[in-house]
Formats: sequence, C-alpha cells, structure tokens
Amino acid sequence: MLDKLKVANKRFNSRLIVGTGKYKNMSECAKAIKLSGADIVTVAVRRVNISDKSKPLLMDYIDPKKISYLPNTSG
Amino acid sequence: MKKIKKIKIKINGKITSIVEELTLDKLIRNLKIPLSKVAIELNKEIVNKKNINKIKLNNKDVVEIVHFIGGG
Repeated sequence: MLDKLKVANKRFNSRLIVGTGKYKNMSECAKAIKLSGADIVTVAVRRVNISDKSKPLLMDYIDPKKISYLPNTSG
Repeated sequence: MKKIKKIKIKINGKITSIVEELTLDKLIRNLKIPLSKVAIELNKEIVNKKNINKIKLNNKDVVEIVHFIGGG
C-alpha cells in the first residue's frame, strides 16, 4: 500500500507516533521504539544541566537522523 | 599588559561572568557541552549553528541551552 504520511516534504512509513517517557531506562525505550516501527517519537525539551553532564542523552540511543523528534513544548 | 574585561551573561537562568569578546561556540566548548546534541537560544532567538563561531557575546545576554529528554 502506497499511503505514506507526508509532512513538510518529509515522508514517513509509519503513522504511529510513540512517546519516550516512563521507560525503565534508555535502552528499553530505544528497543521499544525500534520494535514498534514508528518513525516519529515525542520528546520533552529541558535545559542542559551545566554542572552535571553525566546523564545519558536520548540522542545517544535514538538517532534523530533515522527517527524524527516531535518536541512537546509543554513538558 | 592589557586588562581582560569581564562581562556578565545569563546561562540557563544562572548569571555567569565570562571574558569579553567570547564567541558562543567557545562558550559551549568551555562548558564541555556536545554542540550536536543541543539547541541554543540567544536573547529569545534560536541560533543557527552554522554561524555560531561568528556570534560574540555581549553584556547581559541571555543564553538558553536545551536538549531533548524522554517524555513529551
């Protein structure tokens, strides 16, 4: 079936949009997204903690070149 | 000897003293933040990372450095 979702000249194979919160850890989140087949994930935007940068980054687990980030500005 | 002038800017809500003539890319590098993984706002405007080495910081500038986290 050729029914791709097209948003601003970007084509998506899946219409499923999944969240990235409430997972036990980042690797579980990345695995679930991969298995779901979703091309778009929702993310939250936060200030970078200048004094502590040791926390793992979402971008290290979910490649933004492969999966589009849909930021939720409310939280 | 030329005296190094300092200016005050706000980074993520915290007032910080930096040297004058510092560019935005040098500030990010000094803070050891991976540039490719963050978005930067300077005085309420999103910064194009292509021009980041040309942007000089001025006194009372407000810098916001954000990243994406799980949630949303």
